[in-house]
Amino acid sequence: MYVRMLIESDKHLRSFWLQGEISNLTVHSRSGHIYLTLKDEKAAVKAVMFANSARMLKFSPKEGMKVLVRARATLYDAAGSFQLYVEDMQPYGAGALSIAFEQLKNKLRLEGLFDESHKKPLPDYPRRIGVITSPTGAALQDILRILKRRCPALEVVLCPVLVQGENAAAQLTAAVRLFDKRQCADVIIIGRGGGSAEDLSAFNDESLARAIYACSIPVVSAVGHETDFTICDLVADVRASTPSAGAEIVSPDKDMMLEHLQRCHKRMISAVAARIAMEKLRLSALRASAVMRSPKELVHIRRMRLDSLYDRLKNSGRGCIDRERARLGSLSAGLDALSPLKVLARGYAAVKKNGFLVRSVKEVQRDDRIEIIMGDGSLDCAVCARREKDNG
Amino acid sequence: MDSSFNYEKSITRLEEIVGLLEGGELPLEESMKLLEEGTRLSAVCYEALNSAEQRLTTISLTDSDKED
Repeated sequence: MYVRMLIESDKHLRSFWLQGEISNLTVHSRSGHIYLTLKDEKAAVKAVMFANSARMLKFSPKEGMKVLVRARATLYDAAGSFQLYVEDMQPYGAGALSIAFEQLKNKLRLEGLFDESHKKPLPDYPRRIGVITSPTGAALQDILRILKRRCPALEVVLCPVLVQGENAAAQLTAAVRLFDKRQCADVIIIGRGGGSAEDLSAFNDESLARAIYACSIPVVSAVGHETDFTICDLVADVRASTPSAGAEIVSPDKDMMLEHLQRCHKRMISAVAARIAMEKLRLSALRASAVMRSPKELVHIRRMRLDSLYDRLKNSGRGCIDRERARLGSLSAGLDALSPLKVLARGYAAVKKNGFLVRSVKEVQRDDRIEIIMGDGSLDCAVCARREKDNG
Repeated sequence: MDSSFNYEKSITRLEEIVGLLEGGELPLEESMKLLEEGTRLSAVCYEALNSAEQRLTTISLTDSDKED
């Protein structure tokens, strides 16, 4: 315990930088603590990096990697061994940033953040151009100049941010999310003028990459540099080499738009003109037709038709009458045969009393005066006797 | 310019009208109505393209912090 106190109280051992190569690397999967041995050609020392510090690492340590660590020394009581608590660690030699960059790039590529299939097309006719850049940088002036030249009618929505320094990545990320949330642009240009690799580091931020990937508005990355791609370039829907190029890419050319508009207008007018000409032709063809030329002919045709119909009606009427007449003739011939006059002509006689026909001898008494009607005349007679027929 | 004006929508509609009119299958009366609409659209688009003043608005991150 005394030794430990001795070690921990030494101000030189409380915080110091040490360079070495990683060996015996173990990353404890559950706790997240990293155990390793740091060694150089002559010496070796055990070290541990606790999870809370390990989480802050911008790269993953690998066996054999040369690193620079900030550590404090202590004595691990349980093992009685001298060891280091590593508080910060950076790759040494290859450059901390580039290793972290490569690792992040690979990780995001594997996750599919750079996939072509996820990239959104830029709108043909955007109305509002979102710009995320420094309000004081040359990039903004370049963008505004190009947009003004190509299509002054475009509205520019600027979200001013820091593009380098500690807060730059957070602000860039927040700006992308803000545009996405408010939907206040049809396309976004995110960028800055050129700079050193360190200057551009904000554009290699993981949160920014994820914000751009998640953004529903197409994003054009316009970071001014020709050589290396930033992660922002890779994840953006379109990459432009400079802010000016970004502005060119997003903006439709006013002259081309005007030309297109005029062509549409002309086509519309000529289509209607052609239509009207066609209708005129149709109309004159109709007017040239026989009926339109002499309307009387129409009446004439109608009259002829009417006449023929009348004839048919008349004929069919006459036929009907003839048929009925024939029927009537045959009926009356039958009737004639039954006529009482005909019967009388054959020698029968009818008896009337007081002008009524007598059907039974019972209607007549002795001495009654009766009239006997015969075919050719009648006789007035007195009844001498009445004989009833025996009903037997 | 009307704030609800959308160039892309307008030009797309205009192209559609041109197509319909060139197809020549609509009744004349409807064609005339389309011509009227198309003329209006092309005038609005023309005006939009020629409104020469660039407009710059700014949204700030701090505003959004207040909102949230």
